[in-house]
Amino acid sequence: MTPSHRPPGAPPTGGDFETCEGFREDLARYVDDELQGADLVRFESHLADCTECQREVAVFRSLKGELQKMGLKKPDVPGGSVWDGVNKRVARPAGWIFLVIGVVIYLAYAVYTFITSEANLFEQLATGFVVVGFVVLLASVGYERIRSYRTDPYKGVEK
Amino acid sequence: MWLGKRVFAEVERELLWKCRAGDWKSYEPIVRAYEGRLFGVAIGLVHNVDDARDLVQDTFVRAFKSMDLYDPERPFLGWILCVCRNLCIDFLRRRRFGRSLEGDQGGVPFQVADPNAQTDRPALDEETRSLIWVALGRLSDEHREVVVLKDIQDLEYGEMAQILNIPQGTVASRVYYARRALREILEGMGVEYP
Repeated sequence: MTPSHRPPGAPPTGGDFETCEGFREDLARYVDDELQGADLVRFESHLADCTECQREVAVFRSLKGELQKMGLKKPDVPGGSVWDGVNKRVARPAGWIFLVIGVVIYLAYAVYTFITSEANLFEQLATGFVVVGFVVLLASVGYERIRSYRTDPYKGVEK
Repeated sequence: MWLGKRVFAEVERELLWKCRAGDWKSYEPIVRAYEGRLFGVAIGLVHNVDDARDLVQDTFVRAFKSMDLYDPERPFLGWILCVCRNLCIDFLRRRRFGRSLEGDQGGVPFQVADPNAQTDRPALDEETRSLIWVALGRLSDEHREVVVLKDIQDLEYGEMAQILNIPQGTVASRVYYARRALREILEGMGVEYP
């Protein structure tokens, strides 16, 4: 890959390129075989006379070799694939959406059927109060749970 | 080999287009193809198997939800590595006040299948692996991520520049100083280099 940080052939910047300081980036690129053209020629010319840079190149190549031998480039994921967990988390929201839509349609139909049924007024009132009471209680409990979760200072602590 | 890579790239692109359209079943081969690579990055950065596994899972979930931001004509690896790296860095920032990586360093905490074992690269002995693992944990986050991306994942400077969102020259400079820091840490642990 062609370096884009400076034009090919231009002297290194950010330091004195007659000393090692100006060749830090080039040294890294050289170790990684990403130094080309005039930059490569200039660095190799410096390298031929600089024992300090020769040592760094040798050490960095050795380090790189050891790191690559760690086997971390594409290791097996311990405990098997993460797909099951991803699948649950990706698919679950879609499932909830369908479930909520279904429940809303079902409830709307139930209310319509109830209102248009031939039950007398007392039956309709009694059933209506039971349903409204149940919904209010459920909403109250849900609200409390949400509020306590939001203000829980220990929610981020792992069990 | 070349044909195989080309076919794989076309299949992958088609799967990613389907994922963008919300087809999560098309995501399975993508997850299976990249999870090992992502785990290698995550374990290198956070130094803990369970955290790395969670972060890889978070990465895939986050990526799927943000799939409309991804251009399937561009390499998926660079994009997903960027997502993974950002999650790992956020995780490390959150964990900073809790405990250091030193707490997780007691040797390489898992056995990895060395993909180079059948090539001309013999696997490292356990002592060397442990030393390097501990030394990696002692690097700064900034240095550790370039060592992981360059020396372990073998990415090119251009790819790293995209993932880290810094110029290639800065990548090269950071790689140099990261290697020097790693060498100094290893020398401080008694490892001698010529």
